[in-house]
Amino acid sequence: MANYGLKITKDGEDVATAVDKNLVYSSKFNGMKIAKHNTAGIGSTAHGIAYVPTFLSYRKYSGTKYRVDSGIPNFDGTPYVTSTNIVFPNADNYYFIFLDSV
Amino acid sequence: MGNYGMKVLRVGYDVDETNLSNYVIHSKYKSLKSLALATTTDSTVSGNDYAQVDIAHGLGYIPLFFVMAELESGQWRNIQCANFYIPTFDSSISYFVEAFANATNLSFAVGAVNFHGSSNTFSVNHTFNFSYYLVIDEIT
Repeated sequence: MANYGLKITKDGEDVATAVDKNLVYSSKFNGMKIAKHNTAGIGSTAHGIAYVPTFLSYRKYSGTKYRVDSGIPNFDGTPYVTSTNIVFPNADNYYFIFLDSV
Repeated sequence: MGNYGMKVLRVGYDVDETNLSNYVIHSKYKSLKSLALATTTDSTVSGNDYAQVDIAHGLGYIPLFFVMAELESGQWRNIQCANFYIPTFDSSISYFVEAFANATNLSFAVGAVNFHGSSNTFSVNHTFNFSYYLVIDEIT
């Protein structure tokens, strides 16, 4: 890609010399676009995207503490996505579904 | 920083919005920039106990990444933390699946696990599918 597009730097940095990792925003790179974020209980929720999307989810395991399910000791307890649903084996989840496909 | 810069909001919100989560771009804050969204595979070989595939990212520092694996056909799971499981295609042993990064590579690994101390090996050949989001922004 040629050196054109939209770039934003942090306050005090020169947009002409800033390295990519220090940019606040650059149209050179794709960003993760959130299609949906919500809470969910046990079971399947249709995500409404016609392909397998990328997702992140966190499960409340104690009080107000949330963590990513690790699949230890058993992956059966971890959420997953298919081309139609996001599926949670446990209660009290918060999830993000991104428009980008796997 | 003064109240200047570039701000883009979701449809229906005004530029004096106080809830930052409603901003699509706010130049006061960095956005995650994706270097690559791609897939790769890692194949186990019967008789071995470990398989690893390295994806060179060329960044020279350790980047942030998001990774998913198709552990069962059509079911994609996050492997931000290692997953342990007994696959339907090889129910004789436990497997672990994980991803990790250094300043050179993003790596995916599959291993045979035995929780009882004796050695284990894969009993079948199997190809795992992975999807990864490699982000320009660094962990360290």
